[in-house]
Amino acid sequence: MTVCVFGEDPFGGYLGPMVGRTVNQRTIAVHYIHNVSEIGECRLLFINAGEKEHWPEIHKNLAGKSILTVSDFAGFAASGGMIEFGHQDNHINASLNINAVTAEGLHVEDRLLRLVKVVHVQGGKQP
Amino acid sequence: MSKRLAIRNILLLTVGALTLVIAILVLHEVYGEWQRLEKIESLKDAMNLSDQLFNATENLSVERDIAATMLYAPDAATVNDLKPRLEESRKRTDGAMSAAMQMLKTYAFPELAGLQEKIGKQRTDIQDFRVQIDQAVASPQERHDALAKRWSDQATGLIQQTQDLWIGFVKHFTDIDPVVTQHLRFKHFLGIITDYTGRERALISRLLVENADPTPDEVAQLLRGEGTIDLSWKVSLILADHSGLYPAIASSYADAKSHYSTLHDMMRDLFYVPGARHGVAYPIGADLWLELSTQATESLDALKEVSLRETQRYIDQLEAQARRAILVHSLLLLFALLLCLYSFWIIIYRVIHPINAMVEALLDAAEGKPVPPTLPAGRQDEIGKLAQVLHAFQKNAQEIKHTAVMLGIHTKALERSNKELDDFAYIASHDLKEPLRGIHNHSNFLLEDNRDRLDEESIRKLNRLVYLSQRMERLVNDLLYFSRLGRQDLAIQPTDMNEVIHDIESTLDIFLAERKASIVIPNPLPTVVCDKPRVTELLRNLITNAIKYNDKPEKVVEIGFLDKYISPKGMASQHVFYVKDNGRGIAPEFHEEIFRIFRRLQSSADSEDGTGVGLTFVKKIVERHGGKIWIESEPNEGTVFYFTLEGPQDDTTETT
Repeated sequence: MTVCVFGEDPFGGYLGPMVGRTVNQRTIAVHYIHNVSEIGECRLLFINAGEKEHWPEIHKNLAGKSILTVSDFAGFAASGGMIEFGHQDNHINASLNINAVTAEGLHVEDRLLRLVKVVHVQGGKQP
Repeated sequence: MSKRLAIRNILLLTVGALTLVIAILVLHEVYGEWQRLEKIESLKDAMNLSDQLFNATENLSVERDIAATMLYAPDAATVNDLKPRLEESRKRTDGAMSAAMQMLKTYAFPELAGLQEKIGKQRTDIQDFRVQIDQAVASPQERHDALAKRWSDQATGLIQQTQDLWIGFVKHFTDIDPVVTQHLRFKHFLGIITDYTGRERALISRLLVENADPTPDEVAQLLRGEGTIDLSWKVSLILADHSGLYPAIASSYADAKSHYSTLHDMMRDLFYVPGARHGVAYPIGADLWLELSTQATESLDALKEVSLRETQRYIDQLEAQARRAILVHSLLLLFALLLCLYSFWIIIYRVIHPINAMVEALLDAAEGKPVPPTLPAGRQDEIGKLAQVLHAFQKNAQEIKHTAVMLGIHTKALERSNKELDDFAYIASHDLKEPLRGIHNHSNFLLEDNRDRLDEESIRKLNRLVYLSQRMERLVNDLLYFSRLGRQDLAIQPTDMNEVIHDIESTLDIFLAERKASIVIPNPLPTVVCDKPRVTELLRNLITNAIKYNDKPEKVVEIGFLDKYISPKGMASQHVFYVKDNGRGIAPEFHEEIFRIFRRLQSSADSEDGTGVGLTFVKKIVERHGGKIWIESEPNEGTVFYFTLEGPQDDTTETT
C-alpha cells in the first residue's frame, strides 16, 4: 500500500519505521511527491498544509482514482478532502467527509466513524 | 507312512506359524496406528478447545480493560463511546468461555476438575460484577476506583486460571506429535503477547483517562511488558519457522507484528519521549488508544485463526497418513493370509499329493505293476520332472526285463550249441582214430611187404604217408584230450604249489639240463584248492614253452605268487600266479592269438614235436578252475604269464 506525502514531510521521520510493515497483508511504502502527475500509485495521499494552494488542482486529478486523501489544514474536508486532522484542547481530532469517501467507492468501518467527526459536504465540491 | 505325514505336518505347521507371526506383527502395527489415529482425532477436538480457551482469556482481558477505563472515566462521553465496545467484548468472552467449558465436559482430566469448578464459580462472580459495573457507569460523574480495582483483580484472576486450564489441558496432547507440540508452544507465546498487551492497555487507558504522567514504576512496568512482548515475537517466529508453520501464516504474522510495532511506537512517543504531552494533555484519548489496541489484538486473532487452520490442516494430514497406514497394513495382512492359504494349497495339492501318488506308483513299480498314467508328467516343475523320470525308469525296467528274458534264451541256445560242438569234437576225434590207424597200418604193411618192388620215390611217399598219419593221430588225440578237458569234472583238493613245481622240475631235469635252463621261485608259493594233475600240466606247459621259445644262452623261468596285482592297463586282480621268462617275448597283437588251438607263432628247436595245443590246454584248465589268464610281453623283453585259479570270488575289479 503506497502512502504518498505531497510537499514537505511534516512527520519528522515518524513515517520511516512504517515502511515495510503490512496492513491487511499489504506492504506499506512511503513516497514523497511534489507533482500532481506522480499521484497515480498512491492509495493514501497526505497533503502538507503548506500545499494548501495546490489542493484544488490536486483534487481535480483525483476523481475516480479511489485515493484516500488526508490533510491537516483547516477546511480540507469541507473542500472535498476526505480526512482532516485538527487540534482541540491539545487533543488530536479528525473530521471525515463521508460524501467524498463514498463518492470514490471507499468504505469506512463503523468503528472508525465512532472516533471521528463526520461531515457531509455534497459531492466534495470546492469551496 | 508316518514319516511322510510328519513332513507334511511340519511344512504346514511352519507355514502356519510364519503366517501367525506375520499376522501378529501386522496386527500389532495396525493396532498401533489405530491408537495413533484415535489420538490424532482427539487432537483435532483438543485444538478447537484450546483455541476457545485462548479466545476466552483474550476477550476477557479486553473486557476487563474497557470496563476499567469506563469506571475511571470522568465524563459521560467517554463512557458512551466505550459502551458498545464493552458489550461486544462481553459477548465474545461469554461465547468463547461457554464453548470451551462445554467442550471440556467430554474430557475427564481429574487434575483439572478443581480448576474447572473454580472457573465456573468465578464466571458467576463476573456476572455479578458486570451488573455492578453497569450501575456504576450510569453515574459517570463519580470515580469508581475501588470497584475498578476489585473488578480488575477478579478478571485478571479468571484470566490467569483460564490460562492455567489451557496449559493443564494441552499438556495431555504434547506427546502425540512434535510438530503439533511446536504449534502449541507458538500459541503459548502469542498468548503471552496478548496478556502483556492487555496489561499495557489497562495501564495506558487509565493514564490517558486521568491525563496523568506514569510513575517510574509504571514506566518500568511498560518497558518490561514491551521487552516481554518483543521477546515473545522473536521466540514465536523461531517456533513457527521450526515447525514449518511459518510459510502458511507469514502474511497474517506480518500484519499482526506491524500492528504491534505501530502500537509500541505510539506508546514510546506518548510516554518515553520528553515533551510528548506538550505539558497540557495527551494528544489522543483512551478511546483511540483502545481502538488501536483492539485492532492489534484482532490482527493477532487473525494470526491465531490462520495458524489454527494450519494446525488443523496438519492434523488432517496426520490423520490421512494414519488411515493410509492402517489401510496398507490391513491389505498387507490380507495379502499374508492369502499367501498362507495359497502356500497351504501348494503344499497339499501340488506337492504332497503328487509325491504320495508317486510313492504309491514306485511301490507298485517295485512289485512289477505298471505306473498309472495319472502322474503329473506334463507339469514343468520339479514334480513334473520327477514324474517324467519315474516314467523313464519304468520304461527302462521293462526293457531290462525283456533283455534278461532274451539273454536267458540266448544263453540256453549257446549252451546247447557248445555242448553239441563238444560232442561233435569228441565223436569226430574218437571216430577219426580208427580210419587213421588203418591208413598208418596199411602204409606200414605196404612198406614192409613190397619194399623190394617199390621204387625210391614210392618208398619216400609211403614214409611221408606214415609220418603224416602219425601226426594226424597226435592232432586227433590232442583234440580228444581238449574235448575231455571240457567234459570231465575236476578232482579238487588242497594242493601245495611248491610241491607241484618240484615234481615238474624232477620230471624235466634232463630237458632243463640240456637247454641250460633253470627254474626260480623267489618266495614260497601258497597251497591252493585245485585239480592237482591239471594244474601240474598247466605249469609244465608254461615252463616248457618258456624254455622252448627262449633264445638266451642262460634260460631262466621265474614262478611266483602275488596277493594283489594291478596291470599296466589298470586292471586289479588278487591271488595271482605268474610265470616269467627271459625269452624272445611276444608282440602285443599275438597276445590273444597264442591261446587259440593249433596255433604256433614260431618254431623252436622242438617245434616238430608240438601240435600248438599247449596254451589252449592251459587256458582251458584255468577257465575250468574259474580263473583267467593273460600275458604281458614285448618282443625281446621276455614274457610273463599271469593266471588265477579262483572263480567269481576272485574279486577282480576295474580301477582307474
